[in-house]
Amino acid sequence: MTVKTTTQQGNHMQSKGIDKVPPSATSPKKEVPMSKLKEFTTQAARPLPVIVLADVSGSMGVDGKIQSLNLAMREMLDAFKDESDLRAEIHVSVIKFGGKADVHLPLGRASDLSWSDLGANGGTPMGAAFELARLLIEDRNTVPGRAYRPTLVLISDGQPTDEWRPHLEALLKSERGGKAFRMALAIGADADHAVLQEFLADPEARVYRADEARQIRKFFQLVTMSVSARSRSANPNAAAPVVDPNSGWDL
Amino acid sequence: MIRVVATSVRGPAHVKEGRPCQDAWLAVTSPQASLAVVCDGMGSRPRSQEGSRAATLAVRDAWRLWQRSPVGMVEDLIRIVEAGWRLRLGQVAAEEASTTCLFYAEDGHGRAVQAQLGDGLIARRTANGVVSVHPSRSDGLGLTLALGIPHSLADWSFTFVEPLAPQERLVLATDGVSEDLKSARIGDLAEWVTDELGAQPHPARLLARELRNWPVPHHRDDKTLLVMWKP
Repeated sequence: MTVKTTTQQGNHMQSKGIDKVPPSATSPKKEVPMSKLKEFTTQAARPLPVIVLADVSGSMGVDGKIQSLNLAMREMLDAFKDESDLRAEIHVSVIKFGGKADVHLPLGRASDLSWSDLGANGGTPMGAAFELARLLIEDRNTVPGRAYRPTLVLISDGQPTDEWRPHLEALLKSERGGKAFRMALAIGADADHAVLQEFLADPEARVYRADEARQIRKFFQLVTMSVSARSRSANPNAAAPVVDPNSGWDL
Repeated sequence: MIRVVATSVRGPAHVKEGRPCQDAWLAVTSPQASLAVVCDGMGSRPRSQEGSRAATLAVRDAWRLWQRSPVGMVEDLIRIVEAGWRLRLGQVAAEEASTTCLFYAEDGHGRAVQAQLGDGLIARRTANGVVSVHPSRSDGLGLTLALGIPHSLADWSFTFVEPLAPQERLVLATDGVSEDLKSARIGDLAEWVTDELGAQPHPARLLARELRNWPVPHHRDDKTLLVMWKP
């Protein structure tokens, strides 16, 4: 008895072969409707979340810091809106902590967001902000599995005034929070560098410093460049090279 | 007789860069035992095109040996795949040829296996429309597991399953396809490939045309879709 075994395989060679087939040779006898795949696929691009944890405690209200932060956020959103030819769709959320922690800007497409200025008052409940960030990032309805690795950005000019460590540990140990890219900015001499370094959880990663309010904008330009580079790269889940701020435009 | 419709196409990123498709697939169909494999070479690795192709062949090599025993363990099959892949690579460094690996393999003794390392999709649709998705070890956010990246046997998701029944469809896809699929429509996708495309003279060409016109904004990845079924 003869048994028929068939092996088929394909990779780039087969794809090239298909590319060279003249249209006439591929014409089916019966017309197959095009774009049928639309019915089976989501119509949303894969999101690349950027979550900013912004210190808006009372001390941010002096020396033009909060004004500089508002300007920097506005510029970053505008820059993301202007991006084209991206592999990913940049989504942004802002969690503010000053007196209490809450979501100032729910996670959404940067192109759809409009910025409302932050005010500054109260203490520095950074731990509560870490907890909000963890809940957001672990929520699979908000950050779906098809999302690229998020970027967490923490900026602060002071000492946390709540129990921050358990919440930071929970964030870093969470399934997804620990895998997020993280960037941190210490504003002024009173910022707690040790806490920010723990947030980065990488001894080789650096906490950026802004000694003047205008340098907050430069930091956010760095964040913008980093996120934009990732969103354009072949693999947005890989870390994008970050420009060394010591090379020409130190914060 | 088991039928297969499958194809790999380059994603827009590789078309723009003039680089080849880094996905690969392989299918063997016979009345005794069939095999389906899809592999997604990691775009960040310079030799991943060779890695994905070597992985499909390594699974075939391993499967041929594994079939000889009616009591072979899945773990044995996977270990042979891992070793065979490294041997197939020859002088190519494994870490430069990283690739995911997903396969369905029948052993010819009434058993079948589904196994997955890394992102992608293995799903089945029964004759009465019930869809089951093979659980992946990947936790989302694209942090994929792969051959050529340090991992252990525990990183594979594998299980014995029933061989394909008449009218049942098997779907294997790389993440360029699976990440954009609506989970509730996977069964309908399988049915469309088998019933509509499968009825045409050149179903793989038609499928390739559809995959090149992928309707999701900003998509860039290479795409591989394989559907196997027993009419």
